[in-house]
Amino acid sequence: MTGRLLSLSRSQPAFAASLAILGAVVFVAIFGTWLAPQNPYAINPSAVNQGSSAAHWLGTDEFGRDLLSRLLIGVRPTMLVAIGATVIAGFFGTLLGIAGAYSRPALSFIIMRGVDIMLSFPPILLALLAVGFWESGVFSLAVVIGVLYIPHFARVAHSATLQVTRQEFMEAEHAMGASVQRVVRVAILPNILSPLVVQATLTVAAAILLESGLSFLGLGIVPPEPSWGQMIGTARGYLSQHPMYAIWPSLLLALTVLSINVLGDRLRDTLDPRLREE
Amino acid sequence: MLEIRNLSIAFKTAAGLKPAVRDVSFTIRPGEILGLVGESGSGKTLTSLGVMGLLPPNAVVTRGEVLVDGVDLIKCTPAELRRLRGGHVAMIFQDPMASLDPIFTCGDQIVEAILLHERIGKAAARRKALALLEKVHIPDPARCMRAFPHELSGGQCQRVMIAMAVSCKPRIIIADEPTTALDVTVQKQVLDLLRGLNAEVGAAILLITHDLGVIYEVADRVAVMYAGELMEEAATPDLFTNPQNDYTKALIDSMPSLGLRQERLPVIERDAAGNVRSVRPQPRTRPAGGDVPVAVDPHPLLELKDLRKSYWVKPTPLAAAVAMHAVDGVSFSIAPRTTLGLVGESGCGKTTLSRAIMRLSNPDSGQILFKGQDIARLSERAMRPFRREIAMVFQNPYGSLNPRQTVADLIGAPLAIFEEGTPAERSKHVLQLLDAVGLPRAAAAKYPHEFSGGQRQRIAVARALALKPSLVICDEAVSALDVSVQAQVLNLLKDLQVEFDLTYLFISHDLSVVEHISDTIAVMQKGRIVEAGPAEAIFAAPQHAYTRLLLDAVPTVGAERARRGRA
Amino acid sequence: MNATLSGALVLVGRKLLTAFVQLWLVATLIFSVMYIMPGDPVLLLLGAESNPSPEAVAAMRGQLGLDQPVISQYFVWLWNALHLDFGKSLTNGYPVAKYVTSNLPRTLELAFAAIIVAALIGVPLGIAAALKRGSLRDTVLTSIATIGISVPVYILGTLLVLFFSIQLGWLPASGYTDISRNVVEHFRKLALPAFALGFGLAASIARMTRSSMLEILGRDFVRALRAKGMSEHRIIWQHVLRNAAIPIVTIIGLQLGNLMGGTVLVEAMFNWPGLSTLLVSAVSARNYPLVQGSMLAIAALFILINLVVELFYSLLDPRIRRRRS
Repeated sequence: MTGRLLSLSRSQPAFAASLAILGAVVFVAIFGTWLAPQNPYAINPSAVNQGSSAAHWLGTDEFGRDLLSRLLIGVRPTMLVAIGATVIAGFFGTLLGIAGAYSRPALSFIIMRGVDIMLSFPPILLALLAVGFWESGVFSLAVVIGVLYIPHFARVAHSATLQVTRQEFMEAEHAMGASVQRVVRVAILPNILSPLVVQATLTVAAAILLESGLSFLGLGIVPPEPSWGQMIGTARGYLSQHPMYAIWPSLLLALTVLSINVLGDRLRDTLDPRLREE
Repeated sequence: MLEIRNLSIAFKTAAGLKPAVRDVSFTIRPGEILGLVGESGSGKTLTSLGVMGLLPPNAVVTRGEVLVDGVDLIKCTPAELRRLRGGHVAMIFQDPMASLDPIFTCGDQIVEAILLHERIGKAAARRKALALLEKVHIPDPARCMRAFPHELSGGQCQRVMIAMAVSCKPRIIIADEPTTALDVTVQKQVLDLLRGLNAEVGAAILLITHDLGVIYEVADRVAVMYAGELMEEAATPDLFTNPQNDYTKALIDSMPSLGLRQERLPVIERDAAGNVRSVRPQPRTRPAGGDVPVAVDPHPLLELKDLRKSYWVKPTPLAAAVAMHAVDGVSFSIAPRTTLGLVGESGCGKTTLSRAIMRLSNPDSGQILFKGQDIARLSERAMRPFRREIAMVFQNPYGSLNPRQTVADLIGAPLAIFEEGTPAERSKHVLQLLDAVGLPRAAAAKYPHEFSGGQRQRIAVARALALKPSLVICDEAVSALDVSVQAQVLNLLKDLQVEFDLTYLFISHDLSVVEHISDTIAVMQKGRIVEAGPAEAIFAAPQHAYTRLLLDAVPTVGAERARRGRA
Repeated sequence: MNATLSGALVLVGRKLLTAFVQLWLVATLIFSVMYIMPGDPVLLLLGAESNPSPEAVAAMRGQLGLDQPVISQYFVWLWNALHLDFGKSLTNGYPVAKYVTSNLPRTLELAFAAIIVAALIGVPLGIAAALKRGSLRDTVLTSIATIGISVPVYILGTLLVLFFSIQLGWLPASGYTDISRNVVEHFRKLALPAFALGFGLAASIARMTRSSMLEILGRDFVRALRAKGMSEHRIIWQHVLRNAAIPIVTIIGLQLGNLMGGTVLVEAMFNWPGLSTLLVSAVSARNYPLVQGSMLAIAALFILINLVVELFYSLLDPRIRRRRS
C-alpha cells in the first residue's frame, strides 16, 4: 500500500501536492496552538484591520488580533468536526447500508425508504434546523453533520453490497453453510471497502464545507474561537478596507478541500476494479 | 479479394510495445467462408479489428498490409476507410444486444445504415429495411422495425445486425463470434442464415470463433491462430482429417465431441522447448488400499420427486406479475458414484433447479431426497449437516472466488465454517487438496486474480472437496473455459470421482461435454425433464423431439473423428 | 399506443403518490424537530436567562398551542399546512404563508438562473473534455472542474464581489431590486449570486457529463456504428450524445438538491430575500412557525423538482417508456 502510494505520487504531481497539503493541515490541526506566533485572542484596538507587517505577517482582524495565529488555531475545530462526522457517518451508514442490502425484504425496505427520505433534503437545511435549536460547538456540530451524512454512506454501502451479493462467491458462501457474521466479515466488508474509502474522503470534504458554511452564517463555531468559515463570514463586512482578511482563510479552505477531492479522485481511480483491470 | 499480409499488432504498455499478433497472413477469396479459430488470447479478434481499423486506442498496427481489392486499408485516410466500412466490408459482433443503440428502434438503425452508403429516399430505405428483415427470417418484420433492441431476443438482435451488415451488399462480412452469446438451437439458425446469405449475396465471410464445431459446420477453409501467430491454414475437411500443425492436432483432439466417448481427453501441453503437443494423460489410480471393489448401491444418493419452483415475474415494469414455472415437476435420481448430466438451453430452469437442491432457494413443493431423507423443507439449521455432504462448483471461475481471500482461505473456508481441526491441521489439509487438484503448493498464499480461468476452476473444485462431500453439483462448471483447459478440468473431475467416491450432478448446455462425462442424462426444457436415461441410449436413439432438435443443432465435428477413432 | 398511454399514467400516478408520502414524512419530521431538540422552545423563545414568569410562559404556551396534547397539535398543524396555513410569525403576527409566497419566487428565480448558468457552462465543457480524453485540453478542463467542486459558494461569492464590485465596480455587491421597478437593475443584482451558485454546479455537471460520455463511447454499439462507416462527428452528435443525455439530465436534476443547499449561503451573502434568508433569520430569532413554514416550502419545492426530473427521465428513456408488446 505504501509502495503504491509512493509510486503514485511520483507519477502524479497533483496527487503528491495534495498529500503534502493535507499532511500540513493535519500537522497544524494538532500543533497549531504551539505554532501560533502570537496570542490569537489578544485584542489590540490600536491595530485593527491592518495589512501585512513585521509584527503581524498576515495582518490583523477587526479586533486587531493576529490573523496568522487565528488561521493556525482555526484548523483544529474544523478538522475535529470533519473527522468526527465522517466516523459517525461511516460507522452507522455502513451498518445501515449492509443491513439494507442483506436482510429481510421488509427491514431493508424500511431502511432504504428512510435513507431516501433523508437524502431528499439538502444537508445544510437540516443542519440549520438542528444548530438553530441546539447548543453549537465542535461536539454537537460533529454529531449533527455526521448524522446528516449517514444516508449518503448508507447509499454507497447499500449499492456496493448489492453488487457483491450478486456475485457467485456469495452463493458459494451460502452453499457452504456460512453464518451471517462470516458472510459480512469475509465476503461483504473486504469487497465494499474501496467505495467506502472513497466515500469517506468525500464526506470529510463535505463536512468541512458544511461546518465552514454554518460558521460563515454565524451558526457554527462560536466566537471568540476561530474557524476558517467563520473568519470568511466576518471578513465579508470589511471586504473593501481589508480584502486579504477574506482571501487568506478562503485560500486555505479551498486548497484543503481541493486536496481532499484530488485524493478522493485518485483513490477512486486506483481502487475501482473496473479501471484497474484494464 | 481480402488479403492480409504479415499483419502485426502490438499493445502500447508502459514498458513499450507488447506484441499481440505476429506476422499473420491469409487470404479470403470471393464467395468463400474462412473460419479464423483460436482460444481466448490468441489474437483472433484483434486481427479482425485491425482489418477494420477499429483497434482499441491502446493497440497499434506495427507492420503489414490489409489489402481489399488491392487497396491497403492500413494506409487509408479515415474518410476513405469510412467509405469502405459498411459499404465494402461489414462487421457482425459477438454481443448483438449491446451492438445496437438502445434508444433508437431497430428499423431506424437499419435505415440509417442504408442511407450511409446509398443515395435513396427515406421511404425507399424503409421499404428496403423491411425487405432485409424478411430476408433474415425475423418473425413479424413490421413489428421488429418499430421495436427497440431490448424488446427483441438475442437471436433476433443478431438477425437485425446481419440485416444491417448485408444492407449495402458488402463484398466481405467479418463475423466476430456471432453465435457465442446464443443458445445452440438459435446458433444453428443464425449459422444457416449466414451460409444462405453467403450463397445468395456472394459476400465472402470471415468467421471468427473459438468453437471448432461452428467452423466445421460452415467454413470452407480454416485458419488457426495460437498466441498471436497463425498456426495453419487449410481447407476445412483437410484440417479435421489431417491436421498438419501440432497445435491444431492437439486442439482438435482435446474437444469432446458427440459420438466419440473417450475415458480421458487429450490435453495440450508445451514441452521444455516450447513446442505444443497433445498428451493423453493416464487415469490416476486409486491410492493403495482404496481399491475395494465398489458394490452397486441400489439406493439413489439423490432423488427428486415432483420438484416445483415458480417465480413471480413482471413481463414489463408496469404489468401485473405472472407466475413463471422455472422448475415444473422435476423428478430424477442419481445412483452413488455416477454422474447425471442435466442438459438444457438458457432459461430452461436448470440453474433454478441446482439452487433449489442446494437449498439456496426454497422449493414450492416436491421432495429432495438425499440418502433417503427429504431436505426440501429443512430449516437452515437442520440443513447444516447436509451442507457438508453436498458441494457445488459454479460456472464462473472469476466470480465464484472471493477476490479478497487467499487460496488457502478459499479452499479452507468449508473447514473454517464447520470448525474442523486446528488451524495447522487445516492448512495441511489445504495443501493435500492442492495436490489432489494438481496445483502447486505455493498457490496457497496467492490471490485468485493471479490464476488463469482453468486454475481458478481447480481451486473451486478443491474447495468443493474440502469436507469430502458425497454429491458435487457442477453448474456449467466448464462452460467458461477454453477447449484445451476444459479438457483438463473434465479429466480432473473424472479422476477425482474415482479418488473421492464422488457423485456428480453435471449441469451444462453443451451436449458433447455432457456426453463425455455422464453415465445418465436428463434433458430439460421449460422447467420439465422431457427425456432421461442412460447416456448411450439417449445419444444413440433420442426419443423426444426436443432432444433430437438439440442433437441436430450441435455442430458435428465428431462424425469425422468418430470414424478416425474407430479405425 | 393506448397501452403506452395508460402505462405512462400509472407511472405518473405512482410517482405522485410517492412524492406525496415523502412530503408528509418530511412535514412530520419538521414538526417533530421542535420536540426532539433539547430545551423548552418557550424558554428559549423568552430567553431562559431573563427568568420569565410562569404566567408569561403559560401565555406563550397557549399562543403556540403547546398546551394541547402533542398528537392533536400535530394534526392541527398538518391540517392547517394542507390549507397552506402555517400559522403566524411570532415576532409580528404576520401570516407565515404571506412571507413564504413572497419569498418563494425569488428563490426559484435564483435557482433557475443558476441551473441555466451551470448547464450552459458544464455540459459543453464536459463534452469537450470527453472527446479528447487524455489530452492537455482534457487535463485542464478536469482540473478546473475539480477546483470548481472544491471552492465553496461563499468563497467564490466573496471573490466575485471583490473583483466585479469592489475592484471593477461593474456589478452591485448585494441586494435585490424587484423586476417591476427596474428590469436592468434586477438582472444586474441577479448576476453575481446566480454565477456564484451556478459555478460549482457547472463543475460537477462537467465532471459527470464527461464520465457518462466516456461510458457511452466505450459501449459496443459505438464500435458497431464505426464499423458501419458512420463518421465520428455523426456518431457523437446523433448517438452518443442522445444516449448520454439521459444520465446528464438526471444528474442535473439530482444536483438541484445541492443547489437548494447552496441558496442558503448565497442568499445570505448577497442579501437576496428568498426562502433561505427567511429561514436563516427565523432560525436565529427562534421564530418556530416561520421556521416550519419556510422549511416545508423548501422541502416541497425540492420534492417537486425531483418528481419532475424523474418523470422527465422516464419519458426520455425508451427502456422505461415502452412496454414490451
